[in-house]
Amino acid sequence: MSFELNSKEPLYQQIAFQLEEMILTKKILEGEQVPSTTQLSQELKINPATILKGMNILVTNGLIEKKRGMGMFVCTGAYEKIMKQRQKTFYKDYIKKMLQEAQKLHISKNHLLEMIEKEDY
Amino acid sequence: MKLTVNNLTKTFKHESILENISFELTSPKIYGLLGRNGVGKSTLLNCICDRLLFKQGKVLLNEKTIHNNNEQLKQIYLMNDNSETYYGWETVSDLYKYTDIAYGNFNYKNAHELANKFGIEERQKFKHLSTGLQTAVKLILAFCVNAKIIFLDEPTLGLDAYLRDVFYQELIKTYNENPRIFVLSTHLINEVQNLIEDVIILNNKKIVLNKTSVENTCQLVTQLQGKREDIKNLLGEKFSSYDAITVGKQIIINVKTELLQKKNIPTTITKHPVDLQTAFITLTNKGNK
Repeated sequence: MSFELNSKEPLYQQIAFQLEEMILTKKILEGEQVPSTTQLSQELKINPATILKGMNILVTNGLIEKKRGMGMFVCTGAYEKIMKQRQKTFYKDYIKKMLQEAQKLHISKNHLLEMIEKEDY
Repeated sequence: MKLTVNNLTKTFKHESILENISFELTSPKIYGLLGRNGVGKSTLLNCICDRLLFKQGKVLLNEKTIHNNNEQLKQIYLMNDNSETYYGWETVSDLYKYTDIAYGNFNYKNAHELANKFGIEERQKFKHLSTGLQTAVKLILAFCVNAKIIFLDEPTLGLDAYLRDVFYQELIKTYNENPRIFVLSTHLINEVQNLIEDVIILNNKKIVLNKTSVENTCQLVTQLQGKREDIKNLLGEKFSSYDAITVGKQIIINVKTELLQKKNIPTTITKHPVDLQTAFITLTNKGNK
């Protein structure tokens, strides 16, 4: 696990984000069990209530579900859901910042486009 | 399980140390009790645990007063930094026994495991141990005692970084295995930020913050970055009561978020979140009441 936690956003939100990342990058597959609250709190040395709060965000969004007596599992369709959600916020999270930085550095739109074309995609 | 402190006032030689302290602890939860040096955290904990007398106020466990009530007091444990309190020439093992006698059902198995993890020889005399290892022994007692409310007063005193890590790990472990109430009174706020759930701040003889999560506490303070002039205009007369870091004409300043409500913040000033330690420093700075 490469959990990177910072002190900028509330911890439970960061936990939720990292769990989504793991589903998005197929580190946990649909139908697979998610590490338990106890396991995560133990490994990361984070209060279990915080872990639970983060997990509950995914539960509310239909990404993981509780199977009684067994634990939390990734829902079918979770991958697609996260993908679509992240596609929506991609502009705000990445493009906008990139354009601001390019503007600051006087990098023209054409130059930007050139750089994007050059990259193997 | 609910511990209620009701209007506790503690005076010493006609001077008040704690005034009208009221708050509640409910199970299961890990609380952080934060306060400046000398504000009275240890005094408060000793009052709550019936070790210090106070004239006004009540401490109740599940609605029943705990004062002189052994049944109640057996559910509360105080790990404190006062070495003289009950340590003579006992060995570590002796201390396990004493705690067992006082509270019953001491978890010896867990104690042996923890002694191993902390690198402690149980046959050693407590007084022969270094400050840090004495703290480690006290932590073992606190984790293995059969009590429902555990107060940890300066639980990291003298502990090296490695053992502090062991402490944090074992705290989560024992909390997961046996959820109960823990109250951590510590100065290493950034180290415990992820471990605690709710924050209690004692400042100027009073409880100034209570029933607030770590993230909500952090949100009480905002960091502003921008030109000194712009920020001075924004904050008005309040500007002088905050410390600022100056880099040329730019400053970085941490202020109470409530100051920014209903204000139009120009785009030249940026807002940033702060961590718990920074929030605490800002909230308890003598300049800002």
